[in-house]
Amino acid sequence: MRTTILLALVVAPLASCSCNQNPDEGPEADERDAGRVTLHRLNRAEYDNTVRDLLGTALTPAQDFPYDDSSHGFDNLAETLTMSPLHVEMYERAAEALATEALEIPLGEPAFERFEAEGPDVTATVGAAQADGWMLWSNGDLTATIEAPADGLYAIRTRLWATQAGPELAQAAIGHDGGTDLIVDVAATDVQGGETFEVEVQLTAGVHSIHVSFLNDFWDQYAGEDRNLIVDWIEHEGPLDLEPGPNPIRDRLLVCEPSSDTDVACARLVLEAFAPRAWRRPLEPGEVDGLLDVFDAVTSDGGTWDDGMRLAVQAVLLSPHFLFRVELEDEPGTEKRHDLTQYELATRLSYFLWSSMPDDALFAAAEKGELATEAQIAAQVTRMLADPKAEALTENFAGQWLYIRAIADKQPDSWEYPTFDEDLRDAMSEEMERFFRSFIDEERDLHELLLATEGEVNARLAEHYGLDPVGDWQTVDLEAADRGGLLAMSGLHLVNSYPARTSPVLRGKWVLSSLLCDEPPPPPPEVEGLITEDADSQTLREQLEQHRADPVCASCHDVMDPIGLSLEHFDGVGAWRATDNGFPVDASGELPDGTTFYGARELSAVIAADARYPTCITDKLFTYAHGRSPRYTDAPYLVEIEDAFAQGGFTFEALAVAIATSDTFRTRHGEAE
Amino acid sequence: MTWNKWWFRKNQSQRGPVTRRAFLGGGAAVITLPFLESLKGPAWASPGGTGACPVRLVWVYVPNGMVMNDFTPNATGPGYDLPRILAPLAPIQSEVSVHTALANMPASVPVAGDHARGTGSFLSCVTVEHTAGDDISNGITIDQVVANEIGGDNLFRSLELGTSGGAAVGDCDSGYSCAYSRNISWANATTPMAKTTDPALLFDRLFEGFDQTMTEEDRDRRKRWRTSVLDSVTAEANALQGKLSTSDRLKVDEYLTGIRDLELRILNGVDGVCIPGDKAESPLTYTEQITAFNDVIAKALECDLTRVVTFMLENAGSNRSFDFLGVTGAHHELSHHQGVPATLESLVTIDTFEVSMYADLVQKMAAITEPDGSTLLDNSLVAFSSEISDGDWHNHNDLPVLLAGRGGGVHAAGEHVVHPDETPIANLFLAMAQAAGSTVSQHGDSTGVMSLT
Repeated sequence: MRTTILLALVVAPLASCSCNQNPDEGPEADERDAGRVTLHRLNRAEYDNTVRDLLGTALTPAQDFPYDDSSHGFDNLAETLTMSPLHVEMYERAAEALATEALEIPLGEPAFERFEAEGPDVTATVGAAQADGWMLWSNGDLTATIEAPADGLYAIRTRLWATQAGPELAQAAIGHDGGTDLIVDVAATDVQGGETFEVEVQLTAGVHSIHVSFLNDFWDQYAGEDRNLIVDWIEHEGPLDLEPGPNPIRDRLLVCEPSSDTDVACARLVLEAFAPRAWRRPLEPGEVDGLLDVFDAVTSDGGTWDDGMRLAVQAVLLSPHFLFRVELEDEPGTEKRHDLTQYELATRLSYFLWSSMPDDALFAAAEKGELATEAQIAAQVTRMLADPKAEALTENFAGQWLYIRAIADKQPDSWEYPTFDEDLRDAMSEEMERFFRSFIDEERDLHELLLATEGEVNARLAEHYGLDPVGDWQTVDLEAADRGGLLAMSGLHLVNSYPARTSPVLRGKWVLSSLLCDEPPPPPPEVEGLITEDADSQTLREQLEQHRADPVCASCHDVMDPIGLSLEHFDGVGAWRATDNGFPVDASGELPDGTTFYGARELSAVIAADARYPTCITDKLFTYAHGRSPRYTDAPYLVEIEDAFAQGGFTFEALAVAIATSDTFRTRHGEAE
Repeated sequence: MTWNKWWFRKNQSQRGPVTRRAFLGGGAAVITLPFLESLKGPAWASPGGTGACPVRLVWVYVPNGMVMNDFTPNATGPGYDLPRILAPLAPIQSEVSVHTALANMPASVPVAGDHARGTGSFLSCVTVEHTAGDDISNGITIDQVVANEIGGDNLFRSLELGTSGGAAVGDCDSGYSCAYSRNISWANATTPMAKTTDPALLFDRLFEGFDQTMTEEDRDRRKRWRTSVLDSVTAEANALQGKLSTSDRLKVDEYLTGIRDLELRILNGVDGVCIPGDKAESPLTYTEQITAFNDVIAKALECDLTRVVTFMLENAGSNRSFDFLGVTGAHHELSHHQGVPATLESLVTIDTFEVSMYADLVQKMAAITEPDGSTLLDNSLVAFSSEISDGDWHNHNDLPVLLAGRGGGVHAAGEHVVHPDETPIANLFLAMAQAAGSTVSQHGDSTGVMSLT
């Protein structure tokens, strides 16, 4: 049964056009409208993954980008991914940071430590602390202990002044490990004029002492003349002779070594290798010249070769060809359907399965035209799902479909749920992620998402669920604890609750819209929010029953409420409870068609048996994979995809292959002007 | 090692995870004030605002309305009484007016979704298209009208700020796109102006790059280099346009608009005398996040880095928990108070907090002296309102509206003004826009320019 889609098929033509096609026959496959995707800008996740795979960087610049708006449940829908001036500003910042990192030749950071002379970390043989330093009032030493991180050249510095008396200036020695390295005359007479002296010494790795000594004390008690040395601070820095460190990003980028600052030939080679990967296609004639113009502008304006390349790399990363997933029309002004190029298809596959750019194998397949047949595409999907980068499906597809991402945002009321903590929050996310990931890694029927009786928990979650203690993430039997399957997971209950209480309405609505794609319409304007579900005097169940007495409300709440009420044994953070506010929990539910169930496990069985469930998964993954929502013209394709999904045993891989090999995924068309 | 290198290292070493606020320090970086340069000399000193300083505009948005009984003063005119929610205004009451009976009726449509609609329409004063995504449509917002006219010489034409980027999943409000719920500033019908939600990032956007070790020559060269990159990508985008269909071209248009903005910013880049304040370092509590934004907003306006700011304390219909105020429950949920006294008390606590955050900004602006002896607040207009009036009723008339500052002399601050019922708030926005030098005379459903004196 494919209620939603068939309904859309029938309704939409009636509403929108006067097609004279015979509805019984339908268009031939090659005449069908397989849809088009608007120019798609990389979203935040896609941007960070792409620069990771393009450059090998660990930077995640998109963390600073504005949030991507979502529609139809996902934040990767091309139409909704607008670009504001703030985006462009952030793209330039990101490009600059990435290019700088890629080109830099890192020098290790020398160790540096300064000791205030009057501070606790120095010792002195004579003298006393004063406000701005330590006064050595007769010959003696002020010593600090340091640790040299490596063999090498170190600077010892000290800032000195003196109260002068007698025929000569105050004299000081600077040294290390008891020996003298430098003797200086100190002419300064106050803290403002203090002089800094420096000596460089060779040190081996390990502990050393550094010191400053007063050498020529003078005291004429009759004349009242007193010569003292005042030390402001003493410091060390080093090693100063660090070798340049390796930069694997630079090594990968620079396919040649420039011979001079104006070595354009090498610049061309670098850009001819880099830009096609960044733009996910071979370069057009002349395109590299545009990038070399940037290189020239910089190197002819005082810049080094590195400067020129850095700015050219910035230009690659700020280009529309990088920021957008560009798919060109054969004939832009017409709606004639055409195949995507092999590179465009490779790009669709990689952003679908990895939220990132194609890898070398996918580029190679595109170059050889080996993304042409269904078998070739299916083989790539299988390969790509086995790659660790397929984790993106858990983060981005399941993260949004199953609301896992929302776990991080929720702020449960700390008075109502005192046991909630960040460890539990993390465990909730990880439980759902591990569970979903098993459907990508193993050939599991997606009905198991609801029906599983085993699952992985860690110690914190076992405690939360009242299970026997476990170590780190162990598979356990959950059935005995009335858990098992998605609908018994605490993360899901957290995200579908208010801060201080559960919401059967939110939970029921979530199950309907996310698992059956049967989104209840918003309430009429006069009643929105009128129910507060305030459980002080009545049970929530009684309140909701009153509410459903109104036929306007009943039409939707008759379905939503029983589903949500059957999950009432789970509190606002998903912990099991037998009572709510003093009333025993009644987790029974009955749908308008007479179906009855009690609790999460029986509800799960009802949802899993609903024919709308696989249809809905198909719909969700189709939306995510294409970056567009299904239209009525997609109905025949969705039917084909769902059939293949069913024939493949309802595995994730079967569904992914069916989508990736569909014409909707492999073709596009332009728009009539 | 040079002194500067050492100084930066020393400075960085103080910026450990323990220090919540790291200080850039006096004399660290200095940046420009374009208008200050032209205002040296004797004509300059005339206290109270002479019109010599530019007028700056700020809009502060709060979600879920207000408890109007505890917001609206009983007395009108100067020296109005301060209901509970307005109590935080006491120290600066003479600088803040309350405007009662204003309305944004284009947001009033008999379908659910008042939060998203009221927020989308907040500064556009038109009815937004009811859609969850593919064909969003709003109007240009008043802040962008002004920014387009007067913001071109500033480092930023406008700044869009907020405390929350948005929920990670799900829909936003009754079939309305999240774009409406999350953005009060729109460049045109289809392009919301995304906002910065981290005050530290805002600080960097405004003040980084002002490296005092850089010579003027270095700075100019950096400008030329960055511009050459923009030339390159502009050429690519223009070439691409010809190969695309209509809806794809619109995306590239958005991109090109952003590139042109960036180019102006690079050319307007600066070298003068303004000392950035402190940079707030994460993690921040909600209160700290807002006050840190207030600090940077005041500084950005003082330094004339921008003249137009919009600031959202959360998004439409926010369900933020205010447990740090001792309030149990979520904001939106509570806002459907049904007249329950305990719920109204919780709401009053939240509303008062929001007004106190607005008061914090106003006070910071009042404490800044401009070169002519007037205050920054004298030369600004700082508006405060919400997407609805009452949380239960979701009405778009009788909006809670505050207006602080004298706008260079056009606003007689410190009064409670009761307007005729359902006076378009767009009329107030026109007055603000014109005070800042805009020539706009019609906006949304406006029926005229409100007199503020």
